[in-house]
Amino acid sequence: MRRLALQALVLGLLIPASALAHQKSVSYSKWTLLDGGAIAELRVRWFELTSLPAASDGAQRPFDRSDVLSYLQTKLVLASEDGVCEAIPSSATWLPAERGWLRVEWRVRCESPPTSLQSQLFTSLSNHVHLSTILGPVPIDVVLSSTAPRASIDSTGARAGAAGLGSYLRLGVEHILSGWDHLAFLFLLIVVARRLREVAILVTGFTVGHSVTLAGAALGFVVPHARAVEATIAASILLVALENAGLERARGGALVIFGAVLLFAASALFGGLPAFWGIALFTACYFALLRTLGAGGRLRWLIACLFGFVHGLGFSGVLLEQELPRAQLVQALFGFNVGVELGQLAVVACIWPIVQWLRSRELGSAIVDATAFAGAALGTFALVVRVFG
Amino acid sequence: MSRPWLLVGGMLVGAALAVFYIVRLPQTAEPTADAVAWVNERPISRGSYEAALQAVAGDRKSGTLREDDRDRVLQRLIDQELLIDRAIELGLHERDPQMRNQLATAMIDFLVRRTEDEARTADEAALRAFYEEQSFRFQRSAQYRLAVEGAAVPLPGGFLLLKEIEQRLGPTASRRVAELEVDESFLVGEGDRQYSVRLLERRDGEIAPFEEAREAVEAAYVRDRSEATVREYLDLARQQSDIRVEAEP
Repeated sequence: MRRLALQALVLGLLIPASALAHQKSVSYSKWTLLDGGAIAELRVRWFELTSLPAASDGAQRPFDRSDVLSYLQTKLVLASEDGVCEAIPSSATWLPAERGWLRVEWRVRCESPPTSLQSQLFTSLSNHVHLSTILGPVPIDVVLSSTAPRASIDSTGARAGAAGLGSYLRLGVEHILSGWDHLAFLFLLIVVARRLREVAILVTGFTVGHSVTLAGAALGFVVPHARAVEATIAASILLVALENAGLERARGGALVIFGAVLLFAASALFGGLPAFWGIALFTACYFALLRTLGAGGRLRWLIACLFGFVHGLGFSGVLLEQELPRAQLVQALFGFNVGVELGQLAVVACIWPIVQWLRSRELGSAIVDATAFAGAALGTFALVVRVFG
Repeated sequence: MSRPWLLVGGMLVGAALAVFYIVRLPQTAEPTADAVAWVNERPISRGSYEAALQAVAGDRKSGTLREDDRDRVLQRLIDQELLIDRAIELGLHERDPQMRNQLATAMIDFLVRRTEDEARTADEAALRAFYEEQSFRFQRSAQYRLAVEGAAVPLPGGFLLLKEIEQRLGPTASRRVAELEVDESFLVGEGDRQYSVRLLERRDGEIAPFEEAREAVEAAYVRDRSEATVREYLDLARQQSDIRVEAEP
């Protein structure tokens, strides 16, 4: 087992650091409705633009801003009963944006009040989500994706609240289902549980943890350090995988744990993330404590809850990016969190019976070992990419 | 303390250290007790409001404010904040050359003003040391007493600076005077209008005593410190910034 875990660590370090560097594809827009039209403000990552055909035709030419603008104006449109609102070309203004993002504003002219917003942005990216805030008589939020590319705009605002809540509920579900890192952590937590009660305790611990920090960060009580959060999520996968492998009691397991602690220390020292000094200390003490107590798994609820805090900060990123007004934020937060919980429950409901079935076939320890190996490799790889990539 | 509790302590310290670096508390705006209004959570200070009111009152013939002036001034300041917000959002400070020049000038003024305040409180010893080091800057100009022969050119009887000679006799004559020895003369003009200028006496320039030059010393000290501060800031900024020159100058 020791050799297996060591291989996993090395494998994680060797995988090319490009494939999983980017996980979620999200763009944002804000539409301010005016008499006879609207002002659109769109934020999108330059990275997403590399998925467009023009970028992959081999010509290797730099992006032309007018091409980009034309693409954005034709793929993200406001429509009224009289047809698509016309973008006014001369109104486009490129706005300052943070590194890696582009931000552009333009006006559209509508023959009658707009009734819907449609997005066909980045259709080649199956997980692309477009979040939009429409500032009309009653502000509403909509979430557009490849499965739901169109959202109705109720200008009276009668159904705005419900529509916004539903959008964020769906976003929450999509977010957890497309977030492989959250799923991997959750899976590794429950794969060693023997009874449903244990699963319930672990899932509750994780839920309490991430709900607290999701709310805290989304409501502005704390400000997360995005890179440290993402790297710590990767570290959480590695840590739980090593625990699942039972390394604290295995012969020579201390060497692998020492390797992980060294990796965390290197992340702090060379990756510029001082939080990893704390994580290295925590990991060393945690495994020593497990060895002292002589019973791995007894403190898993604590790990679920503690790292749940960090995963919650990761969940909050998608809401924070949208810069929602506080009144909408509470509703969005509620919908998003419920969506995350529903998605999480759905995953557990699917996985737990399979794990139980494998256990009944005497394959319980094999699946634990295999997933621990995969988790250690994945966690190490994600950590290296997020710290040094 | 038993080993398990020691390890639990280590875990707590590690977790606390990680939390400390993973999250931070949001920065809250400094409480501004004298704000007259807030625009997008930015205060309009009573000081700037009062200054604007004074400016309006100063423009009135009567020197007093009208009934609606207070509200009008406040609304104008709010409008100004909104316009500044939008200008920043549009990035005008990054692309409008005029605004960039104004910003650069304002930054220099800011650095200079701060340095001037410090330099004005400089003690006697610092000023004297500056005077000793830069004494050549406080040297008085040479003075000349001249006599004009052969024409009725109005020239005062006392000592004159070269600049005054230049104003009266022209730049060529001024340059010639500077080269003359006492009792030597030279001719100016041609034909009937020719006359001679003789140097009767000369006082060479000398360094003014500290007490007499004190005002000039203070001014030069403040100016030098301000220039040095701007230079120091730019040198430091150049060291700390990533500057790449792509084209040949």
